[in-house]
Amino acid sequence: MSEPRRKTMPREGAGGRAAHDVGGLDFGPIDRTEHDLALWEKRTDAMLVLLRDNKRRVLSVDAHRRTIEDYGQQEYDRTTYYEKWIRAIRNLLVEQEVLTREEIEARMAEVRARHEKAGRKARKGAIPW
Amino acid sequence: MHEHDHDDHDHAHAKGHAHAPPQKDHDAGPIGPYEVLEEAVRELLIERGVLTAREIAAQVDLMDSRTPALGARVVARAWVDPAYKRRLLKDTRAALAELGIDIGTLAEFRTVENTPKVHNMIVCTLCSCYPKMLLGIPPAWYKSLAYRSRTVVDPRGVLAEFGVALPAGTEVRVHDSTADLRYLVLPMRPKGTRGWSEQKLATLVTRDSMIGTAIPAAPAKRSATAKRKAA
Amino acid sequence: MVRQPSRAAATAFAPGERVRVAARPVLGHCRTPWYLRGKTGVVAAVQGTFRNPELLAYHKPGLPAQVLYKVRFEQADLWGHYAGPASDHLEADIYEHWLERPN
Repeated sequence: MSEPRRKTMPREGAGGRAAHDVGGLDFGPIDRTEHDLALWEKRTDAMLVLLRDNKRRVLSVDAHRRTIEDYGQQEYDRTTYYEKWIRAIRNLLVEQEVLTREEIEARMAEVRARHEKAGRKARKGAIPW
Repeated sequence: MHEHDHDDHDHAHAKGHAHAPPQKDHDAGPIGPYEVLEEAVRELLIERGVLTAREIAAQVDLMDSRTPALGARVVARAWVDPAYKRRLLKDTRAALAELGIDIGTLAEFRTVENTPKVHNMIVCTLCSCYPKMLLGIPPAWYKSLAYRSRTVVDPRGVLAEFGVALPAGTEVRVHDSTADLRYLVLPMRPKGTRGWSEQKLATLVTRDSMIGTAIPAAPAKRSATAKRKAA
Repeated sequence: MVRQPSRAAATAFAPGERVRVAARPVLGHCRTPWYLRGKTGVVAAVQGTFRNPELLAYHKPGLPAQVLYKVRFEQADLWGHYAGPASDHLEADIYEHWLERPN
């Protein structure tokens, strides 16, 4: 996926145009390549729907959007749609004290180890909190 | 490519409990950090009893079952039944329920009708709001910064990129989905479809025509030769 | 989270009325796009009442519920160099607390 280019860059800071608020900016031609969703992306979508339902109300779609919007332009531009989503779910689960940061990081290490053992390498890269 | 993850069973995953190795998918390549995160979060939430694997799987299946074909059925019904079309425009949720389509409780729907005078386009500049419970997951381009930014300021340029030519004098009306309402475009029924069944009409209705970046194609006129040959 | 629109609420603006989008600075979540701030349009429809997303975003109840309006703008009014005809429009759903009467 190519880096998006922003030709107009009104980054006025607090009170100005937020990073996600892109109506009227110029990002060049529209890439119409179709992508199937990976299973992890479908599950991310599913988890958001379930976490916001009446049974749980752990988070709202508004809180989810707010969390994504708070990442800042750099992170916003270089992450994919569902990368933004799962990161925001993670942050909100910690914010709402459903899970702790430590146990998420510990489980991620376990998951990586499990995959490596099964022959699938884990790509390096931390997800900023 | 449809992955099946065979450890998707509904039981608590206790720490230290022997875990079935993940199904090796030769197409998968290395696993990235976000995919690792999803797996970690899902496991922890299941262990905590916040979610169950069955619920997650059911929701994944539900979204898989929502596709543009559903929307096409609705459009075709509106094309053949003017009273249904009026109900669809007045109360989209209820009209969809008539056809057995439950859009859930997370958003309301509105239908905007294309006419010879008005061509509607839908965008969500702030995120990517989309009538998912009817049309399924949106295409990647709908979620792209390029589409979200340009459709409001240069909709005709976007239409040109999508190969849509509008008759002169048509208003282009862009809808930015800024709140909890999701928009469905009701495209115009193409010429040359008189007497067509709903089922056949539905085949003309594309996903993009319900977003506003396409127009349903009219069936090609059969040449005199073709008509003779078919006789 | 179900937000059932209530049609019984009193509305500050009626369909056909001219309204201007406020040009306030914002800190935090906001569903009024930058490109509409300070712009004037016409109420096309009253969409019902909804809890305030700016508060819901911070786990608050989002009350009082706000009336939501579909506001229609002339594209020529929104953009300095709009490349289409004067008859092109844009509509957005804007919450009542972001709308004011133009002078």
